[in-house]
Amino acid sequence: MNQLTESYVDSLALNAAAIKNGKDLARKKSFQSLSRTEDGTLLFGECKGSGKEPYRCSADFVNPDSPAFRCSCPSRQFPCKHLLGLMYAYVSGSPFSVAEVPQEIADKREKAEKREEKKRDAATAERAEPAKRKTNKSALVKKTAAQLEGLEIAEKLLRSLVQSGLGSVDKKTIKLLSEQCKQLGNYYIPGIQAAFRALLLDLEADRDREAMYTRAVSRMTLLHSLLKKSREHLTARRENPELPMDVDSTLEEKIGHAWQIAELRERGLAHADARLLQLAFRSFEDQARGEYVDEGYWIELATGRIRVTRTFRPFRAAKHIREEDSVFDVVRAGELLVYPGDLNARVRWETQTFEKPDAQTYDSALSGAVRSFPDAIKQVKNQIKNPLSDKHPVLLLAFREIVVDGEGRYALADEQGNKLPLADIAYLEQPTTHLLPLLHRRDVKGQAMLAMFEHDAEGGRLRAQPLSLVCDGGVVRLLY
Amino acid sequence: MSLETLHELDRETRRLFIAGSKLARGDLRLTKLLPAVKKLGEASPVFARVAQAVELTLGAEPDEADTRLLDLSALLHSIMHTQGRTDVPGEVSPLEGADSFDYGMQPYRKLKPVIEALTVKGQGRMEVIRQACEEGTVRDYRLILPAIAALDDSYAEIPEIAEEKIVPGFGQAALPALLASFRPDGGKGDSRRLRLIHRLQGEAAKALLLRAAEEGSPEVRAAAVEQLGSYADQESFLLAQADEKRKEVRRAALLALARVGTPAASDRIYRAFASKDRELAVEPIRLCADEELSQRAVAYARTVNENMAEDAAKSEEAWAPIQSALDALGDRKSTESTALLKELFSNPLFAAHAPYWLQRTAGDRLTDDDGQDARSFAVSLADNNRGRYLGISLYAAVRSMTPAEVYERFSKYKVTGKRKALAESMQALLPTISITMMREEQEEPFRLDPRWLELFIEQDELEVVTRLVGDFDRPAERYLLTKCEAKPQLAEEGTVHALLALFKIGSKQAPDMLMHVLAAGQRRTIYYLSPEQRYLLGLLPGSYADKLEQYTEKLHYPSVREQVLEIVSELREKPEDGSGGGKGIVEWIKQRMY
Repeated sequence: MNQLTESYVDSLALNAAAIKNGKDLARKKSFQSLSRTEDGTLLFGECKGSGKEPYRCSADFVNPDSPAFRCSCPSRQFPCKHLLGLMYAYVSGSPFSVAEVPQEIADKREKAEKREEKKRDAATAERAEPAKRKTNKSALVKKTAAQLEGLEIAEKLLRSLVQSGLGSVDKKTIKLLSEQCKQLGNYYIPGIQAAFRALLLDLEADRDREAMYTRAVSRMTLLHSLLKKSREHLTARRENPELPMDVDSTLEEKIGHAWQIAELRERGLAHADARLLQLAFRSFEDQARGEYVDEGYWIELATGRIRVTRTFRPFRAAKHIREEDSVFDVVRAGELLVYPGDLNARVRWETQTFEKPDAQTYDSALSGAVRSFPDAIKQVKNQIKNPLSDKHPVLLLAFREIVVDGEGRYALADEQGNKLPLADIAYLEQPTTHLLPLLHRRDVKGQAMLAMFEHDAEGGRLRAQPLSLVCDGGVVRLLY
Repeated sequence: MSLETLHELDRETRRLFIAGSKLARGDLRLTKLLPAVKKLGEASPVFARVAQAVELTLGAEPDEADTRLLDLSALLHSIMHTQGRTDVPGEVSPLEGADSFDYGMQPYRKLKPVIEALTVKGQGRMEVIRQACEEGTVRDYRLILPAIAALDDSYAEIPEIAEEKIVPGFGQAALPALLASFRPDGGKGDSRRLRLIHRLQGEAAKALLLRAAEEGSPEVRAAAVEQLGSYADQESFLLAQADEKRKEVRRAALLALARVGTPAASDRIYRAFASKDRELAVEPIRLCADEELSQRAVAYARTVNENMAEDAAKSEEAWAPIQSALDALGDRKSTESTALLKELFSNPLFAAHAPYWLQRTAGDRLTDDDGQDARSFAVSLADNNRGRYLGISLYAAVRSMTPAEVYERFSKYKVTGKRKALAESMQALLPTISITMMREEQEEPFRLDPRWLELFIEQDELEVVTRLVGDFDRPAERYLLTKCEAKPQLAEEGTVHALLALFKIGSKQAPDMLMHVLAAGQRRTIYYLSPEQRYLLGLLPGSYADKLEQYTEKLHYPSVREQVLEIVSELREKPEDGSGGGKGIVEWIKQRMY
C-alpha cells in the first residue's frame, strides 16, 4: 500500500464531488469498523449507509499494479464514496485494527488469481500467433454506400441553406434543419453530423447576429470542404474496398471513425516506451457532440513533439466516467498509440507508470522548444491553410523575453528579437494573458512558452495564447 | 494591395452568404472587383485561381451557384489563413516579473470549482470557498485575480472571506493587481481594496489613503478616513472630517479618532455623543482606549436621568441617550456606571416609562456588576415596583449571601401575589434538568438551601423542582411519581423532566414509571424523538431492552421505531450495573451519544 497517499486517492476519484463525499464520510466517522491485514495488503471496513445493513467495502493491494476495490453499496460510481472514504480514513491516520483476511475476500482473491493465469496463457498464445483481423467486406461495402448516401443528404441541407441565405434563417428553418440533422445519425457519419450540429448551434445563438454570420460562413465553408473530401475518399473506397484507411490526415476521424487500438497497431502507429510530461490541461463542453472533452497537452520528451490526449465524456454518462485532471508527474507509457493527425497528434496509452520530474526533465522539455518564431509561424500557417486541419495548433516556443506595449498588449520575443503577438483567443474562452504580470522574475526571461495559435479572421492577424511556461525549475501553468 | 483585395472579396462573399447564393449571378459589387483580381492573377497563380473562382460564381446557374460560392469561400479562407499578420507595432518594454512568491499550483479538479465559486453566481459557493481555505487550495496564484474580483461580489459573505483570508494570503503578490483594480470613485468593493492595500503596504499607503479620503466616492472616503486612524499625525485632518456633511464619513472619522486617542480626539467624540450624532459615537467610545471618555458618556446619561420630566419620560426618544451610554460602556465597570444603574432603578419614571430594551439592558448590567455596592443595592430591589425586580434581586442575592440567608429573606415571597414571580425568578437561575444531566462538565456557581426543594414541592412548581433536585434528593420521589402518573405522556415536557429527575435521584421506580408512561401514552403523537427523549430512554437499565423492543411494535411512525430500536441495541450492550442509574452508566451513555 505504499502508493496510498492522499493525492493517489484523489486521482482515483471520478470527480471533485466524489472526493468531497469520500472525505466527508471519513471526517464524520461514518465507518463502524476499520481494519487492515497484518501484511498491509488489504484495507476493509463497514460504513453506515442509508440502508439497514452497513456497506462492506475493501481495497485490496495484493497486486499493487491493479488494486481491487469492492463495495456492497449499489452505487454505479466506481470507486464509490465508501471506498474513497475508507482510503481517506487510512491516509489521514484513523486507527485501523489488525485483522485476518475475511473469507469472502480470500475467495475473491483466489478467483482473481485464476483469472489472471488464464489471461496470461491467452496472452502468450496470442503473442505466438497474433490473430489477423479480418474485415467483413460485404458489410464494409454496405456501410460505405450508406455513408455516401448520408453525405448526399448533408450536402443537400448545406446547399439549400446557402441558396436561401443566412439572412432568411429563422426559428422554423433551424427546427427543420435540426430534425434533418438527426436523420444523419443513421448513416455512420457521426463526425459530419456533429459538424452540422455545430453549425446549427451557431445559427441558434443569435445574440450578436453579425458575429454569428462570420462564424456560420466559416463553418459552412469548412463543412463544404469536409463533405467534398469525404466524398472523394468514400467514393474511392466504394470502387475499391481493399483501399487502406487514411492515416495521413484526420479525415477518417472527421467523418466519424473511432480508431481502435488494434487498428493503430496494425498501421505502425504504436511506439514502445515513451515518456511524456503534461504541460497544460483543460476541460470543456462540446455542445455539438454532447460531450465533455478533457484535453491534455503533453510533450513527448524524446522527440519534443507536442501531443494531445482527449477523453470524451458524454453528458449522459459523465457521472460514471472519470473526469481527468492535471498531471504533474512524468508519465511513462508502456505503449504510445499515435492517432493520425497534424502538428499535435492525439495519443493514448493503456498502461502507465509515474516518475517524479527533475531538472533534467525540464531541460529536455526546453530543448524541444522551437527556437525561431518565423519557423514556428510557417509551420502553423502551413497547417491552418488546409481546410480540414486543426485550426488551433499548439507549439512550445523558446523565448528571450516577454514584452508589453503601452496599452498592455503582450508579445513574445525570440533570441533574434522576432516578435509574436500574444492574446486571449476566442476558441479557448478563458483568458490567460492577464496572469503574465504575476509571473516570477526568474520565469519571464529565457524560458519556453506553450502557446495555442489562432487566426483572427476579422483583424487578419495570427496570434497565440499562452497556456504554460516551461522553465528550468518546473512548469508554470496559466491554464490548468 | 493584394491583401486589401482579398478582404474585399471576403466581405462580398460573406454578403452573398447572407443574401443567398441565388443572387450571386452577375452580382455587381463582385463583378467590380474582378478586374483587380485578374490583374493580380497575372503575377501570381493563386490569384489566377481566385479570379477563376469568382468568374465561375458570377456566371453560375442558380442551382449550382451555392457550390461555386462555397468553393470560392474555401479558397479565400485558405489563402487568408496564410496571410495572418504577426507584427507588433509600437514601443514595447520587457516584462520584469514579480518578486519571490510561491505559485502554489493546484490541479484542475481542485482549482476549477474555486475559480467558479469566486466568479460565477450560484448556490453552494460559500461551502466550496470555505473548504478551499481549509485545504489551502486558495493559495494558487491563478486565484489572485478571481479573489480580487470577488471583493465586488453581491453575496456579502464572499467579499468578506476574500478580504479577511484569501487576498491577504497572497501577501505582496496581490498588491500590483489590487492597485491596478482600485477605483477611488468605486463602491464597497473598492473600500475593501483600499483596506487591503493599506494592510499589505502599511504606511507606504498613506498618500493613497489621503488622496482617497479627499477625492473618493462616499464609501471609499469613509474607508480611507477610518484607516487613517492608525496615524496620530492625522489628528487635525480627522477632526475636520468629523464635521463632514456625509454621515458615513463622520462615522468613519469618529472611529478613526477613537484609535488616535488624543485628548482632542476624545473631546470631539464626546461632543458628537452629546449632539445629534450620538448614535455614531457609541461604537467609537466603546472601542476607544480612553476610559475617561466612557465615564463622561455615563455622567451625561446620569444628568439625562436626573432631569427626566414626567411628560418627556413617556417618549422613548427621551431615554435613548441612556441606552447609548450603556451600549458605549461595553464591558467596563466603574463607580460611575454603578451610580447610574442605582439612580435608574430608583427612578419611578424609569420603571413606569423606560422602553423594554433599556430595562433589559440596565437589568443585565446590574446583574453583571459584581461590586459589593451594586449587589447589595440589587438585593434591596426585591420589594420595589411590585416584585418586578425580584429576579434581579434573587440573582444578586445567591451570589452575595449565604444559602440560609437567601432562604430566610426570599422564602416569604411564596405568598399569593408574589409566588409566580418567585418561581420564575428561581427557574431563571437554574438550567433545565436535561442540560444539567447531559452536559459533560458540571459547573456550580452557587449553592441553594435544601429547604427550597420542599417549598417548591409544596407550591407544586414541577419545572422548578426538577431543576432543583440533587443526585440523592429522595424526598422528591413521591411528588415526581405523582406528577408522572397525572400526565403519562412522553410528549409532555413536564413528564419527561420529572422522569429525568427520578433517574437523577436514583429512584428504583424510575424505569418502571418510564415504561408505564410509554405504555399509557398515545403512540401516534410521537413522530420524532428529541435528544432529551432519546437520552431519557437510554437511561433504562440493560434488562429493559426486550420490553422496549416490544413497545416499538406498536409505534406508528417508522422513523421513531428506528430511533427506538437503536436505543434498544445500545441497551443490550450496556454493562450490567447492580446499582442502576449510577454515574458509570451515565458516563457510558454519554460516550455512546456523541
